Amino acid sequence: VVFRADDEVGVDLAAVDWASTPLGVPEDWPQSLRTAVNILLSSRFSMWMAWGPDLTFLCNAAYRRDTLGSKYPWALGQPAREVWAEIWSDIGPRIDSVLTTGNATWDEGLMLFLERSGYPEETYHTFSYSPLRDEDADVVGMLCVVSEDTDRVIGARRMATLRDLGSDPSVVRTEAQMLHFVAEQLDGNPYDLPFTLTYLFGDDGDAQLAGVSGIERDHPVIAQTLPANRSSPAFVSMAAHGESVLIQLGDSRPLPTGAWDTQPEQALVVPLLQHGDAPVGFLIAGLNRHRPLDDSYRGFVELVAGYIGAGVSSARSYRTQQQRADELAELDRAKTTFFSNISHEFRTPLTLILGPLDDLRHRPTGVDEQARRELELAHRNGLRLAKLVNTLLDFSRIQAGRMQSQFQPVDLSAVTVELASVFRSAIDRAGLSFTVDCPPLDEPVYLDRDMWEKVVLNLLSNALKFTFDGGITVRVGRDDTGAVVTITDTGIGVPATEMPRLFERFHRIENARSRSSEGSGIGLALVRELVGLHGGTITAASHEGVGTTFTIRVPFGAAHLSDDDLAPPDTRVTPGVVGEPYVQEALRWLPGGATSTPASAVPTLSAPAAGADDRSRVLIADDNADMREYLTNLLRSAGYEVREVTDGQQALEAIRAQLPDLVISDVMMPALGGLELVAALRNDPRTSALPVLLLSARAGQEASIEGLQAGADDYLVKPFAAAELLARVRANLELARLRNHHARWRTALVDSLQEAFFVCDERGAVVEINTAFTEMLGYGTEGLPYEPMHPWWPDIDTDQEFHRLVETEFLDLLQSQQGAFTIPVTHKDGHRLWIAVTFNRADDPETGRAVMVGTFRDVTAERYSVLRTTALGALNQQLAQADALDDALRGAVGELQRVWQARRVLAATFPAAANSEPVTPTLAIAGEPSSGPSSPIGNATASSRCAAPTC
Amino acid sequence: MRSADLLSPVDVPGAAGVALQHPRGVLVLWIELAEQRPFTEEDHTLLSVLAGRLG
Repeated sequence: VVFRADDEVGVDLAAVDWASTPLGVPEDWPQSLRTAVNILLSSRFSMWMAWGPDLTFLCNAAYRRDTLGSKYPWALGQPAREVWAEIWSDIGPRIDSVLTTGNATWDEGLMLFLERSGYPEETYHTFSYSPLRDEDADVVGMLCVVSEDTDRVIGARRMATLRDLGSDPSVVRTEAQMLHFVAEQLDGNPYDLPFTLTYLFGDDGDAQLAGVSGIERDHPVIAQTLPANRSSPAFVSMAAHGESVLIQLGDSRPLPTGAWDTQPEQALVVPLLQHGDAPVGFLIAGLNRHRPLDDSYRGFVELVAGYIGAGVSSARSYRTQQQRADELAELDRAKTTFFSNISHEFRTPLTLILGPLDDLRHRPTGVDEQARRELELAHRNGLRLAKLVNTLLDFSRIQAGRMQSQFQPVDLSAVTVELASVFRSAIDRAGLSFTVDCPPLDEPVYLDRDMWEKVVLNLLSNALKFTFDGGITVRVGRDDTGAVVTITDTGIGVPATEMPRLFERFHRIENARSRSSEGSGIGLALVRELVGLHGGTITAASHEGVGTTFTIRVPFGAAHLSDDDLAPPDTRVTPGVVGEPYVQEALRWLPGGATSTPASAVPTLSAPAAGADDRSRVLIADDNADMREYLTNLLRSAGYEVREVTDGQQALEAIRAQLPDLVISDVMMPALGGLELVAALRNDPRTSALPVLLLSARAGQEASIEGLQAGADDYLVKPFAAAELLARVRANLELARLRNHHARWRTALVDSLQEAFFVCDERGAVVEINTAFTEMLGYGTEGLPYEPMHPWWPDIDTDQEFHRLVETEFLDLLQSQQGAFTIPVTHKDGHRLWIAVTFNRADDPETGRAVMVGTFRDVTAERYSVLRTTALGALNQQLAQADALDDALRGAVGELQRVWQARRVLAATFPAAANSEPVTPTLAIAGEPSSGPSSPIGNATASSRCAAPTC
Repeated sequence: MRSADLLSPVDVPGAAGVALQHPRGVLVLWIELAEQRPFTEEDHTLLSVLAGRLG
């Protein structure tokens, strides 16, 4: 009756031997117990209750199904302490508290290890214990209302791990980084994954350990490599075929236990699948032994493996992409280098095409109208090709980081107005308005003039090309930090879809209406690079059909530039020759074509200033026969006397044979190049001032700086215009003539000096002398420079003492500011003379190096006259003091030794006798006593009286 | 040297000499230079002058 409320559990409850429990048979149960049991059984919510002194256990069907597991029906009627012996330490105190205080308990998600499935099972429960009272309102039992949370808690935990794995902040990373990240995340879940091993298949099929979590990488049970052959466990090949395998680990080898007290007894091997291909490896996941490997657990491990597989694939594909990107970048560099090389090669032939063409175009007669039109065509296209070559070269230099810039403070407004004016006629001819609004800025902007010209000219040429109505406006203004230049047109505009690629190299907008279909697609890319080199930015705004505005911002001042790139202000106002190709090209787009020639291109082939008898001599050194012939014809027709040679060595020989007035030399030549030729000429005093004009196919400032540093007077880059070459030749000859005038005047002055004049460089080499010098010492200008020891120094072997004297004075001269000394020197013909030198230090204004400038005069006669007087005086004194003949002789010998600083002086007195008769002379000696073989007196008697004090 | 012209210096490399009248016969002065330095025209003159004075 009591258990009627449930016919399932009720049957089993009825079967319990209640008489043997403290509760006794149900018929005797108090009403309070009957009511409680009735509520229990009739509820479909999971509940159990305990009643009486032993807390006898009863439960309903829902509790049986959800929680009790294999303990049913044994648990019915048992003491609660025995039913839940494994968790009594957790729940016992809670039950005690209910029984003593009468207050209900509440626990949410409490982890309990239930022994209900044959193993300690990890479970989670949310439950409340409430008191049950008897008729006297005493607490005699408790009711537990419980819901099991195991699936929710574990599900949330696994979800968190998967979420962490997906939280990778970087999109792509290397395989190793990716595996490291995965390991960190998996370490965070030691519950479901006590340990994991990730193996990746190598190219040979062997599986290499690539990542671990929850275990040391060098743990003894781990195989670092699992070969693809039969020696490996079967799961390796199964995983390679995409199958998951459950393996038994056993307890014989110690393994990490993860979050638990005991180590996993099973592991799941899951292949790391990648989309549409064989597995990249496999994951071995040690399993939580407190949970069954149900679909949810297996699914979790497979998702983890899936993530790793995808990560490895993505890292590998990223690596492949990266390699491909590197290869492409390398290809791009190679292409740039190729362009650079080929562009250099283009320059010489371009010169030889453009030069003669220019000549023909300006020939007043002999060219009919048809030919003239075709010449113009060829000329324009030649210019276009030259411009393209230059642009490509600029690009390759920028990319190679070799663009050398010279930033000068300039008035940006003035420069921009000047550049804009180059385009005015072309824009007028196109029927467009041209507004130039450039008020002066109060601060200078540092610009590289050549680069800035290219920026403005490119943008103007672009504007003209795409504008058919309206006009073009150039404005210069400022904002807080810099100058702002805008170039606006009312042209066709740029479609919005093309805007992002506008500044991309080689990108051309297809099907755009323009004045010309030509274009390399490189202009705007170059502009952006050049503006960037100025520390500036360029942006474009455009509306299709309305127009385009390019806005350039360049900062004021030079703080953003390297000091090395700064140059002093330049007074040049006119745009360089850069402008012409741009205008020529633009004019050609316009109806009527380029019929008129800009003033700058008119060559001035006037003869040099000098008369016919005084024709300037020019030497041409170039290994290209065409170039030689072209230059020769050009210069001859301009009235010069021309000689030609094919390399630097021949040039040197020709110059030494006959000094020309000017040398024009190619830089790249066999045997001896142009730079080496210049160096050789500068080292030779006879040719050190000879003007040299270098021609080179290498464009750019670094090349010209190299040429000028080598000592060239001028530098011209191929292709050059004939007029420009002639202008430079004339200018250099004129300068040299002016220089020579000064030099001749100076030489005349110096030569007119009666004193000998010389200039020493800082090493002591005599680099300049005058006529008086040559007369006094016999050494002429042909031997310059005279390196120390100078040939007029007293001989180091035969005249050591005087040599040392000269050397000392000379060293003193090199270190003093000024001074005077008298030294003995040897004339070229061998005779001795004494010179009195005065000298002063001076600085060479050109090189800044110190030089010694000195004069001297011949003081030989004076010196000896003084010497004679002194010696005579001393001798007189000796003689006056002498009492006897021998005394007088002794004194005289000593004096002679002193005068000549002789090693020894002998005075031999031969008694009067016939000349042939041998006699023994009496000797007086001063100096060394022993008789040398040089003495003509030979074996004089040793008994001679010795006069010298040292004797 | 003793038969050379009186008061006419003669030089060889590194040395020079001159002969002059002596009350007892001929006196030859022989100067051996410290180095192989040239005995110049002026040295000749000076030696003549000194020898003359000594004579």
